[in-house]
Amino acid sequence: MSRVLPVQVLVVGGGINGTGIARDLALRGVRTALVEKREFGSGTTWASSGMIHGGLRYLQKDPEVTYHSCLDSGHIQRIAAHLIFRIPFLMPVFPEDSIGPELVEVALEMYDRYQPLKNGRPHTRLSREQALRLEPALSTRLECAFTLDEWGVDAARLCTANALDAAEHGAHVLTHHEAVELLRTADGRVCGARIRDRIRGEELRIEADLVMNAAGPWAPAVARLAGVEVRLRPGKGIHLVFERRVTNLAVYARGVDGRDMFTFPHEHNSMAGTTDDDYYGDLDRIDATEDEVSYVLEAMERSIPGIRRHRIIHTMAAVRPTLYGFGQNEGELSRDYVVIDHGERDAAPGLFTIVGGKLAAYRLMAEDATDRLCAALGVREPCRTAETPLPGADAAVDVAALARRFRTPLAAVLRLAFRHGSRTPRVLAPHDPAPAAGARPAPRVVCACEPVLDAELRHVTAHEGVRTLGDCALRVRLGVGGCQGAACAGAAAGLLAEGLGWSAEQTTAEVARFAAERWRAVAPALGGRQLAAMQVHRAVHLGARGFARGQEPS
Amino acid sequence: MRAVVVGGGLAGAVAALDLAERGAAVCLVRAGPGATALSWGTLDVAAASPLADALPVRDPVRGEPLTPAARLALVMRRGGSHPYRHMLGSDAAQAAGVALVKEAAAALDGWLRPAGLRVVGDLGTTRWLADVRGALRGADLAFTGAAEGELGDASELAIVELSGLAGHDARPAARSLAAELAALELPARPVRVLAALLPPALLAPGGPPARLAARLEEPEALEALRSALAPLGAPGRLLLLPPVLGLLGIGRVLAALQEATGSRVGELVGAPPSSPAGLRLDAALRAALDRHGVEQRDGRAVAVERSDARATSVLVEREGGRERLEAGAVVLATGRFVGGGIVEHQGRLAESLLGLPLYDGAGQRADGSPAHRLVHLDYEAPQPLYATGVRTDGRLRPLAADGRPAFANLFAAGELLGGFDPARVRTGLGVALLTGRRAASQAAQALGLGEATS
Repeated sequence: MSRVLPVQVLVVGGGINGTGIARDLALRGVRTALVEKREFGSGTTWASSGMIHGGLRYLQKDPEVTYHSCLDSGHIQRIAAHLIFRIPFLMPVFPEDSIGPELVEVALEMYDRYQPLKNGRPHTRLSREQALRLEPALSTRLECAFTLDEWGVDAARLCTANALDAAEHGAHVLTHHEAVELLRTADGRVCGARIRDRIRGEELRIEADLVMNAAGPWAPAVARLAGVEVRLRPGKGIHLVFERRVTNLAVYARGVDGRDMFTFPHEHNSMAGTTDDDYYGDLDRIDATEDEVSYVLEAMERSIPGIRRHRIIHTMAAVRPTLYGFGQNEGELSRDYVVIDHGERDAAPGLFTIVGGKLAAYRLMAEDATDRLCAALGVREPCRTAETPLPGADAAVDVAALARRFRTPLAAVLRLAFRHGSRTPRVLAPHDPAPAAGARPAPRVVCACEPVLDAELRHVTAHEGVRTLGDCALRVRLGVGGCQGAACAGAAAGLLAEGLGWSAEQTTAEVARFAAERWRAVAPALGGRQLAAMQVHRAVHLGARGFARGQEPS
Repeated sequence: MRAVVVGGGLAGAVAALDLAERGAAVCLVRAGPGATALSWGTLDVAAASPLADALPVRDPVRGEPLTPAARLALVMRRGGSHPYRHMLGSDAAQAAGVALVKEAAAALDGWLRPAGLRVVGDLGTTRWLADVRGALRGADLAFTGAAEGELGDASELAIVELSGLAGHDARPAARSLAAELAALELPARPVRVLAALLPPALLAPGGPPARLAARLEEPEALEALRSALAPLGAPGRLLLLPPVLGLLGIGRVLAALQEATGSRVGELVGAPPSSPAGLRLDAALRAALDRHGVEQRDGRAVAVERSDARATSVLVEREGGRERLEAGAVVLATGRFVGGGIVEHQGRLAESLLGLPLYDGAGQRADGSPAHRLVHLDYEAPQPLYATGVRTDGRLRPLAADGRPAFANLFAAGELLGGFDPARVRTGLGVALLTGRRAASQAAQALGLGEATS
C-alpha cells in the first residue's frame, strides 16, 4: 500500500505559478501539497529573462498586462527585496528604424505613467554622444537613445522562496515527484493524484478536495489525465548566457523580423534573447538550435557590433505556456492568463488549471487562482502575499560584517546574501569561529565561478530539500559559470552525498548526469574561447570517469 | 641552422630536448601553460577507460585483463587515424611499440630526474591509481607522486584528510574507492579515512593546493606534516594524500614521510585546480629545457616565412616587439583549444599559425566550419570536434589542402595531431611523448644531423 497524504488542495507544478499559489494557499491556512516533477522553476521559469518588468512590449495591445505587471512588480520588490536588482535599459534608435525617436518618446511617456507602480524612474532621452559615453559598446550608427527602468530577479530562487514559505506554513512540498494519475470519485470528481517519486520510484496518493494544475507547458498533459483538454500554443524561447557582463546596461536590439530583444546584465553574466517560436517538440528535451542562436546574435550585432567577440558559456531554452490563438504570429499572442474551472467547463469538477501569464505578474495571478480555489473550498481568509515578505526578505544583512566574522571572501557572502537575505547568518552558522562553538573551520568555496560555498550546499541539502546535483544549478547557480562544473561538480557531489546518503555509484551517476546536462546547454552555442573550457570539462568528466557506474541518467 | 619548436607542452618540450641532445641549436616558443600544465600526474600511453569504445580494462571477448601493451596493440588494430599508427604502422609488432615507449619514457625520465620528477612504469601492468574523488585510473606510466600511490598489494588503503584543505573530502572519496575496487574486481581491502591535523598557519583559508605544495617544501612545514603523519603509519597500509606533497621537491617530501610513517605514501591523482601535478610537470620540463641549453621565448608565434617548400623562419610576437627566428626546421606542437593550436575565429575553426587543413574525428574537413556543427548533444557520444587536428604524412609533416606536406621541414607533434580524443581514448600525453620524439628525429634529419631513427 502506498502512503496516503490528505490535503485540501494539491498543486501540480513547481514553477512560479505553482509555488506562488502554494504559498498563497498556505498563508491562508489551506492544507496544501505541491508536487514538481523536476526542480522548482526548472521548466519555464528558470529559462525566462528573469525580469519582473512592466511589459512595455504589451502596452499597445495588452495595456492590462502592462498595468498588472507594473503593479505586481512593485509588490514583488517589497516581498523579495533581496532577490531583485535594478536593470536600467538603453533603447538605441537607428536611422533605418521605422519608429522614430518621437514615436518612441510617446510610448515611453505613456509607460512612465506606470513606472511609479514599480518604483521605476521616468525615461530620459540621450543624445548619440551621451549614449555612447554611457555604453561604449553601442553601435556608433545610432541617432539617439532612450533609457527606461526595469527590474531583474533570480527567478529560480523566487520559486524556491515561495515554496519554502509554503512549506514553513505547513504545505507539503515535493520535488522530483510527478503526478502520474488523477484520482476520481465514483461521481467523476477529481479528488487527488497518484504521485511517483522519480528518484526513489516510490508512489504515494495525495487525496485532495481540489487539484490545481499549474504545470505550465505540461498543463495540457496533466489535464489529459482527467480526460479534459487545455489548449496552448507553446512558444519556445532561448537565451544566450555570456561569461561576464557584455554591457553595463540592458540594450535593446531588434531581430530581422522586427522582434524586440535585449542584451541585459543578469546576476554577474549578461544574457541575450529571447526568441519566440511555435514549439511542437518534446517538452522534456528542449535545446537551443543553431538557427535560434544565429538569429539572436544577428539581432544583437546591430546594437552591439562586438557581441560575437564575447564568450557564450551556455544557452537556456524553454517554452512559454502561451494561450492558444489562431492566425497570429507568435509575438502577437496574448500574454494574458486564464484560470479554468474544469467543473464548470468540462464536467471534471475538482480540477482547476492556470495557464499563460508573465513572471512579473505571478503573484497577482496566484492571488486570483487562490481566490478561486478558496471560493470553492469556502475559505474566507484574505490574500496576504502582497505584504508578507518571502523568507529572507524581512531584513537587510551586514554582508561585510559576516564576511569578517566567518573569514569568508566578501564576494561569496554577497552572493549568499543575495539568495538567502536575512537568513544568511543561518547558512553560515555551522562555521561559527567562536571558541564556544568549537572554532569550526571557515567555509570553503566549492564553485569559484558563482562563487558557491560548501556551507550553502550543506544548507540547501539539509533545509531546502535539494535532491540532485542538477537542482543546485538552479538553486544556487552551481556549475553554470565559465567552466560549467569542470572544477566543482565532483566536490559538490561529494558534499551532497554526505547529506543525502548517496552511494558511491549514485554519486558518480549524479556527476555524469550533471556534466551531460551542462553539455546539452553549452553545445548549441559552443565556440570561441568556450572550446578550451569544454576541452577541460571533457578531460575531467570523461577522462577521469570512474568504473563504478550507478543508474544510467534517466 | 637551428630548429624552432612552437609550443612548450610535453610534445614541444620533448621535441626540443631530443633535438638539443642530437646537437641541434634549438629555440622553443611558448605562449603560456597549456594542456600539459592541466594534466593529472599520469602519462597515459594506452590507459584503460570505462567509456564505451575507449580502451578497455579487459579483453572484450576473452575477459582477461589487458596489459597496457595489449591496449597499445588494440589502438593499432582498430584503424582510424590515431597518431600512434604513424609511429608504428598499423601492422607493427606489439614488441616494437613497447620498445619505443620504453625508450621514450627512459629518455624523459633522464631529462626530468635532475629537476626532481621521475617517470615510473612500463607497459607490462596496469597501474591502478586513485584520484581525488576516489575514482580509479588504470594508468600505465605515472610521474613521481601519483606513481607512489599505486594501490599494488597494499593490504589497507587510507585516504588522509588534511584538516582545512579545500576541495578534498576524504569520506566520499573513500566510499567511491571501495566501490571502484568492487566494480573492477580488484582485491578488496579496507579503505579508511585518517585525519592529519596540520597547524592552521600552514593552511591559509581558501588557498590553492599549489600554494600548500610550495609551503611543504620548507623544512618547518615538512616537519609539521611529518609529525602529523607519523602516527598514521601501519604495516601494509598505503597512505594516500591529496596531491600537495611539494612541487619539484616532491621526492624529498615523499622520502621523509615514508621514513616517518614506515608506510608507503603516495598522492591521489587530480587535475588543477585541486592538484598541482600538471604544474609540476610543466616546471620540470622548463627546468630541463634550461639545463639542456634550449633557448626559450615567451611569446606567440604569428607566422612562418617560407622559401619554396621550406620554412625559413618563425615570427614571434612578444613583449617588446616582434622577433624573426631563422629556422632550418620547425616543430609545431601548439596543441588544440587549450593550447591555442586550434581556434575558432569569426565562427570558423582554424589552425592558428598556418591555417592548415583540419580534419575532425569523423575524417571530415573541419577548418572553416563552425565548431558547434561538429558536436552532438549527447555528452557521452564521440564528439568529432574533440578529435580534430591536422593530418600528416608518415614523417609527421602536416598536409596542405592538396594532400602534400605543407612544408618539407615542418613537423607536427602532440594534440595538434587529430584522429584521437584524449578524453575518451586515454593516450594524450603518450601521443605527446612519442610524436615529440619522432618530430625531433625528423627535424634533425631536415637539419642534416644524421639519419632519422625511424
